[in-house]
Amino acid sequence: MTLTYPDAAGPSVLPAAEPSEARRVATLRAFLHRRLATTALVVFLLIVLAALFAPLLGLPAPNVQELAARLQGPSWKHLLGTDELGRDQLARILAATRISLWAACQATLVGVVLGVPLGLAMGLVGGRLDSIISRAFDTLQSIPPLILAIAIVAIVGRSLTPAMIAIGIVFSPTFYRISRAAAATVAGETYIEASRSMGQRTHKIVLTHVLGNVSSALIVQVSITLAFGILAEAALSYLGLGVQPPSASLGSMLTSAANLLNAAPQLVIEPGVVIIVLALCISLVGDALRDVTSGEQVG
Amino acid sequence: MLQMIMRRTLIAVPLLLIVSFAVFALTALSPTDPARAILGEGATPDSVRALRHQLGLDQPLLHRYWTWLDGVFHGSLGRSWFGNVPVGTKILQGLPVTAALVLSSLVLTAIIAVPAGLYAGMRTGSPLDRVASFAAGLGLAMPEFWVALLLILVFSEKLHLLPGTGATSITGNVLDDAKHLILPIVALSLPQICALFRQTRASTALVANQDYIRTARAGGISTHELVWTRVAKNALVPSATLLALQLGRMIGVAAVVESVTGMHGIGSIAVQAALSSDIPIILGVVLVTAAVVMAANLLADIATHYLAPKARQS
Amino acid sequence: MELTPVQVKVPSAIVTAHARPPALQVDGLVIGLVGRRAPMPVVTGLDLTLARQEVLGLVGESGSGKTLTSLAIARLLDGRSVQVLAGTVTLFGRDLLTLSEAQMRSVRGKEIGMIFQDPMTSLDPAFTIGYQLTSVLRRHFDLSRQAARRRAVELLGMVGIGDPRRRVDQYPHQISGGMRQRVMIALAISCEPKVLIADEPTTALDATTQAQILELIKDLAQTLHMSTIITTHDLGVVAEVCDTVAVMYAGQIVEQATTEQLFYHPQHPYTERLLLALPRVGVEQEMLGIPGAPPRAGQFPEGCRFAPRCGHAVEPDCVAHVVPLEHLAPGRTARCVRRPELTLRGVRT
Repeated sequence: MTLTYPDAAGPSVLPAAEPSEARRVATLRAFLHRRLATTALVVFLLIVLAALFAPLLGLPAPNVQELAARLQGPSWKHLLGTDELGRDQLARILAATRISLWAACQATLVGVVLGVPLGLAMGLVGGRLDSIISRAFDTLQSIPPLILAIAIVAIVGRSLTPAMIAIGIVFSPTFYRISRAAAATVAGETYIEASRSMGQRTHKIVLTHVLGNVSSALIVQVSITLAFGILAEAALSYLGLGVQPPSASLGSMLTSAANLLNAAPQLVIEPGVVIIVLALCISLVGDALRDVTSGEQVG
Repeated sequence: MLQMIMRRTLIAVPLLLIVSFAVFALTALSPTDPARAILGEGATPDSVRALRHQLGLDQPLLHRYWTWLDGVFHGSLGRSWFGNVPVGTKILQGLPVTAALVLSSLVLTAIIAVPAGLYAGMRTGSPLDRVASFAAGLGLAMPEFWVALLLILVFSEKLHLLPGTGATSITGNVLDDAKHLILPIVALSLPQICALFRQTRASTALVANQDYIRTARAGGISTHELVWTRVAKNALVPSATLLALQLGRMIGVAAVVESVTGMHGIGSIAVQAALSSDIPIILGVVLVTAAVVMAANLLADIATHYLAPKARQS
Repeated sequence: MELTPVQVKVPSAIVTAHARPPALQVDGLVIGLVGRRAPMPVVTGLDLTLARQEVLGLVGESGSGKTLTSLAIARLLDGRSVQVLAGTVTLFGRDLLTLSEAQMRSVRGKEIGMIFQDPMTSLDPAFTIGYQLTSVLRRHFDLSRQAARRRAVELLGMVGIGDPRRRVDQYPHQISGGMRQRVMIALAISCEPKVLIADEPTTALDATTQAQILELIKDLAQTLHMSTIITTHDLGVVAEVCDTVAVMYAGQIVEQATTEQLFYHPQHPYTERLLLALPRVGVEQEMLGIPGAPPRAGQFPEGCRFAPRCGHAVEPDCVAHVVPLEHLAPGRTARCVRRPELTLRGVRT
């Protein structure tokens, strides 16, 4: 028996069979049984909805300055108070959340697009090309993630999308590794051999069997990446390397608030709490998904 | 063993070449002209052309790379585009600060996360384990720079216990350096402690259920030896690998923490360079940090070699 | 501490059965799966007596509870999922279940030696064979490093491992499966326990190695005066090494006898079916499996648990009431309501 360790970055357990409708329902039911994860999912969806439909909530516009009402505490007019330019903090947070979420999605998408197709292909093909590409992704991982992101931003220019592409590149090796492992496992399975001998075309085999096999592991990894994406975006934008004014993300809100740390600590605390709640909810959902799909029965 | 170290060191050289060339090639794609950026908007086309020539930017990419590489082999990482400072000098200035920050954080991470992970992993499902696991999830969701800001708010602005700014340089006065380093170290370590705790806990729980641990229990081995020798040696293999990965993550995150706390380390140098598109410095930082991470990975492999004799065959 | 076995052979005739407590006595042992729901009994009220220096075979299909029983005796059950719910386990007159965990640790390895089923997973891959032996030796005896190592080499020699001086520094993955099981045995007997429990010691091995390992266990039991329990699903193993046999089915003992009696005069239909399933040399005959599957824990039938698969079962006698274990003679029991009227076939009848 060989001992497999859970991967530091994500799941290494891949379900052997293709997911059926019944298994999906069972997985969903097992997930909903976990109260913490279900709560996290609901909270996350509520924040997403609030961020998306913020203009409909009747809040003041996020960029309207009301210089007479600077740095106010919470009131009925401004539920979370106002910032140093008299802007409504809640409206700004919701607008910033939308940008942060969008940024995390971009990074995740880049990671998936770079890692998954190549990983699947190399897992199926194997051989010299596989080892060269795999080594390239390994090399990518030897550059500290945030340093690589800073370097790419320095070269390509400061704005949100390059920053998030950089983060996506940083995440791509994990997606590559998961997809490659899944495809390599499936490639050795007899039913692939069988469908090959029955004359099915290779790309069809990939679609039907491999994607079915890797999807649950990928969903888990996507959730982990979204959480890290939110944190990475916050860090880059805080440094001024991400989103540029007048747009604001949760990270860049903290840049200006940091100067008022002593005078108005709530301006630092509030966006930070939103970042934490978002990242925590997403990773709780991801953890539960991993436990449910790998059939682990802990707690 | 020695052979492996030699082989890995030899492999690292071409890898670093590839990394540096990749970054170098990327600069060719940059939409901004560094010469124009350095001289500002009002520069005349002639002066821009002159500067481009002076920086060697009018040469073909491969030629520029060769020149840079030649410099590297002669111990020079080039010169900053701003202020004409040698890149090597700048990095060496920041190195002690970042090294002190990152290495202390790494040690703190290991000495907290490994015992805690072993302890919790032996008792999965217990109330204490559940609380610790949830706390670890929470800690992982916290941005380091935000933690640093809060720590400054509480311990510096409100309680006046510690200085709010980190070490701008390592003075050699241990007490003074430590005072300046404590808050950044805590901020940098917190999520990494949580990550390493989760990894150690998971592999401990896995190892604790193995047949060979039951064999050890059947031999009457004391709980202390069982956990801290038998389980630990088996369970810490992935933790060692993760710790090496974490060194890389920490070097990156150090950039943010250094910026928040006003430390003059490699990270904040890289951030300043990124804000001004100072490519030579970026290139130097990438190369140096990649080399450090490769060295850390080698150390992790040596640890694995020691911890998992079975892995020695391959 | 003197470690070489005392070479005084006690003639078994002198040891009268009732004068001294048996090596091991299990009374009313109930083992249950515990978890979120109410405990679910898997082994229900098991009684077992291991006389001094005898080799007892505990026979049953997988899932019958024989492995759980052997683990429960050494208190090695994973307490979070499986627990002893009731009963006593008495080792030379001392109740093990009331001992503290620390006291129990001095019993394990020292007084009870354990051999496990799978030699591939039961040895620690991260430590040398020598380390695994010496750490147990030094746990129970005040030995220097060198003395413990000498003893480890000696033990490896005793279990028939060639070149023990070299093997002692090797890791488990460097030796074959059969040799690993020999190391496992060396580990179990290292402190010369009075009771040896071997849980399916040969199941994971090939046929030739199986015979050698059984022979080794038998020899060691004799020379070291150990009382031995061997759990197995294979009556062939029993025939080769055991003095007495207890047959388990669905968490209870259905028949206990000397090996000879059990093979020639089985008193329970389940034993009969097991004997019929044995391959016989020189007899052209269809192998007879037992139709159906044993009941799972929590779904045990009300009456005789074997009734649904039994060819002799009749209603309502076999299904209406719990069937008690009938004591036919000292060391001879059976759990069948129709026993007096049935003539069951043993081997060679």
